[in-house]
Amino acid sequence: MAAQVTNWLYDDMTKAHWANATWSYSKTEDTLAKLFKYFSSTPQLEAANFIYDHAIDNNYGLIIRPITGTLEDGVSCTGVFDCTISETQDNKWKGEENAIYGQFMINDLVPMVWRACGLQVDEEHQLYYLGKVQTHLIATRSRANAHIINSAGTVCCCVNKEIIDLIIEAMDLEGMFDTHSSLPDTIPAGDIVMDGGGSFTQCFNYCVSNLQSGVWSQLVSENPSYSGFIVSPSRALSDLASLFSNNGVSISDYAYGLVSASYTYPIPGFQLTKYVSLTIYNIRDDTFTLYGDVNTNIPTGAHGKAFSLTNSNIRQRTDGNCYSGYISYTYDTITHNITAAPYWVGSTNTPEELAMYAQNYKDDDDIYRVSARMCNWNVDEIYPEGISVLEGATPGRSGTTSSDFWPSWTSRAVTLQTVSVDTYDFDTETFIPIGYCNPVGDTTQIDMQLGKIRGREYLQKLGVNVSNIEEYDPIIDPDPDDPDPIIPDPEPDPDPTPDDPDPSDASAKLYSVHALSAAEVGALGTFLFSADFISAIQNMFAEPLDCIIACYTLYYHGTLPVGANERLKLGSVLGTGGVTGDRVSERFFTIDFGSVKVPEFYGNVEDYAPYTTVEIYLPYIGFCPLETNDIMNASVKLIYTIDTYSGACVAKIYCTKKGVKQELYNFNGNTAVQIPLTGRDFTQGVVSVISAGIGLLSGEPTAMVLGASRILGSPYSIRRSGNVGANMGAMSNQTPYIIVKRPKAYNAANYPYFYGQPSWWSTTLGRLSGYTRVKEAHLDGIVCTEEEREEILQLLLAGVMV
Amino acid sequence: MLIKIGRTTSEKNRLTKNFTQVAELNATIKEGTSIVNPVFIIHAQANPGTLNYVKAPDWNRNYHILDITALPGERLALKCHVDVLTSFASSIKACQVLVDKQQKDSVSSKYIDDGSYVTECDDVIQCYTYSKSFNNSSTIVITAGGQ
Repeated sequence: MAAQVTNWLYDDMTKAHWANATWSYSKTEDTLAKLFKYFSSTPQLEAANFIYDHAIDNNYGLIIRPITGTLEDGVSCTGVFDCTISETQDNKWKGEENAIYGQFMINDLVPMVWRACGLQVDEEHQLYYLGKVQTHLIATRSRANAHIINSAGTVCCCVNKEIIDLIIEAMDLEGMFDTHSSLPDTIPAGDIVMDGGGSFTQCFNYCVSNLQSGVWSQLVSENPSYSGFIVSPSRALSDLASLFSNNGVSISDYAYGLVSASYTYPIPGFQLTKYVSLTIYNIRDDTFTLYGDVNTNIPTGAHGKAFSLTNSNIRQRTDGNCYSGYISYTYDTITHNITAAPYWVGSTNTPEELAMYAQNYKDDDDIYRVSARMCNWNVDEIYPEGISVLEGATPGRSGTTSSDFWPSWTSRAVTLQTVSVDTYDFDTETFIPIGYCNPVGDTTQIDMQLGKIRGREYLQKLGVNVSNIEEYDPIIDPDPDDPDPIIPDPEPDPDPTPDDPDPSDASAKLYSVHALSAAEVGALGTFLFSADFISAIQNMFAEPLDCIIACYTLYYHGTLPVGANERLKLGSVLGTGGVTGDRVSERFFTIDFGSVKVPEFYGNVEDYAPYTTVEIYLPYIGFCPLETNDIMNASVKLIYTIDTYSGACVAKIYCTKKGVKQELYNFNGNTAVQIPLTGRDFTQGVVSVISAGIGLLSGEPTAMVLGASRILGSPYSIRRSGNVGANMGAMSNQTPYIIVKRPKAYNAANYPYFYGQPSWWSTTLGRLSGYTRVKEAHLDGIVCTEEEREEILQLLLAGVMV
Repeated sequence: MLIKIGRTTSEKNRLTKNFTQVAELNATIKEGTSIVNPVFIIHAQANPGTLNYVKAPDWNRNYHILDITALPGERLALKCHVDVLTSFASSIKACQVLVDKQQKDSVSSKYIDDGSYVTECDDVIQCYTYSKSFNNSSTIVITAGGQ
């Protein structure tokens, strides 16, 4: 397929040629390639990327011309960009077989628009527009000619409202769109607008009456928000089918039937919850056979229970090429031959499952499109276009579900011939054929290009198993053969989390641990100082209260792990008079405080150290510094483990990043506030608290003060609090939180334009555009003096505009 | 030598510059000047104030006009310096380079910290609070003697 493209267009075209109103070319391939070369070589028109599909006849070209001004090398173009479809000399538009399939990427078109219009759109806005457009631009075959923009005074046809809006907005910036004042503020997707005045209806009628059927039928096919392939039967077998099969795509997996001579492409059955319709476009005097089956077992060949077709619900579109309607569905074996009148095939019986086929027995050059979708009776329910993006439907054959259908389909790419930026040869690029969601309802787009997918979340919403789908990589590698930069991507280690301590108590025979209510504490006090108790316990302890090992208030979240309420046992003496308590059943218990996500804000290095710092406040422990790079863009989970026997607590911090959960921090403290039972206890408690404060003041933090087993480095050290453990912790904030201190970015609006952004790519300068500063360059192949070579190097090191 | 004189409004560091031609004429090279820093002597045919750029196709070079001096006989001396970027633009574009800075997002990374990001000294503090808190307490009594 590779074909060397001559450069006559670029070399020979003069501004007089460009000023000419209309050109016609008979060979799309050459035309697009040459146009591409022109635009890619013209400084004012930075880039163009035409995608040419060999699956169709190559009789049409996409004509791009400036209306006014010149495009001579070195001279700015001041005209209005015009992109139109020109009728070929032999009037091939009248045949659908000549449908345009040359698609230029709108994201490459847009910079041409800016420049060709002479717009003073600064780089920031341009980038903004580009980014916006790219978001909504899909390299999908079915919409190959959807982005037809003709602002030259005829019609403006585009199914993507936002693209139209952008171009209008761009033109408005220069006042070049004054004559377009009649345009409405918003253009609904799929609407057709006629320049120079007129209502939508007028425009619509104008298009209907003036556009050739090939264009119209495709516009129609694009408008209802579903897409499919438009193929030439004569080429489908040789090109498209083999193209698919070579890439592992089985036609039978494709939900849109491809009608072709002697081949039957089944349309997978749908789990019906509503009516199913089958739309056949461009039917003329050909013979179709529609087959329907009540189950999803697609027969091999033309058999099965067919639809019975009636004319009762036929609707014919105004252009005479598209018909719609419903037919009733019966379980008979009738084969109905569609002759002049095509139908929408629907089911009035709403069977549970339905498989439909379409077969064309006539081999000619016409293009047929057969699509199936779920729809309401009124056919006004718009679904996201694309194969089987249908609520309630189960696409695929018997036993196939949406969850396994989608990945199997989306993972299979097709290849297309595109024009190489470097060599102007045709290169093979990989695309995934997928429908494009019109901006109706959920405008989240699917972007599949070069085998990658943007919009995994969107696919997930559709019930697609995305585990095997590669996330779209926004960094475009300019040279697939020489990926650069080489970024080592070490796999994070698995969770190194140690096991939690055994909560069972092996010392149950030595002492008892109870949790007491307020009333029980009062009863215990009464009992402790009763004569009976003292006389009994004095046989065991020098001090009766020595039988109380510890008494404190323990703070926690939720409930303690306690067992039965029972009488307290002090030494060998059982408490009486309500001296009871809930026996603590586990020594260690955990409190899961959940997770918080710390998102990036700037989306650049300013979100990370040393620009941004992160701390965490942990109740009963204090403020603890965290490493910003660990926390940023991660889910931070906090779990406390508390020792009920001492109140000691350990706060474990788990960071989940890139799908890997790791325990990265471990801080300790104490959640118990001691309750003194004697004067000696009280004195010891006061001394311990005071010593903790002294340690803080003297700059020699004790373990209790810091409460942290790991204190990471920080550019500066500011202590946000003193000791918040134990007594002070009970008086402090009881809720943990993360403090992120971000810098205020102070970047100039056009900073990248003047100074660039960090790159560290190795490539050729010709692949780049805009401000570029190199670190090193190999200036081979330049026929110049050494003085000049040195000057070139110095200029490149200092920064140039490519 | 045939040269094209005119003007450009492109930045000096732009690889490919726009060029508005004012005249195409024969020029003589002042003796002793080089191909890098030539002085073209021409007969004045245009307002010198509109000139800042020269194309010399025979030398495959373009030149910035550094100075214009009037000479006897209505002649002008155009003191020039070669514009190496535009003269060898196509060759330069084919050269392999290690890119340090680039304008486009697609070939740059905002996560490389080369010290070029500028921030104000003031900070913005954001807190992300966990949904749970210590909301309960119990009095724990540990006594000698087990069950």
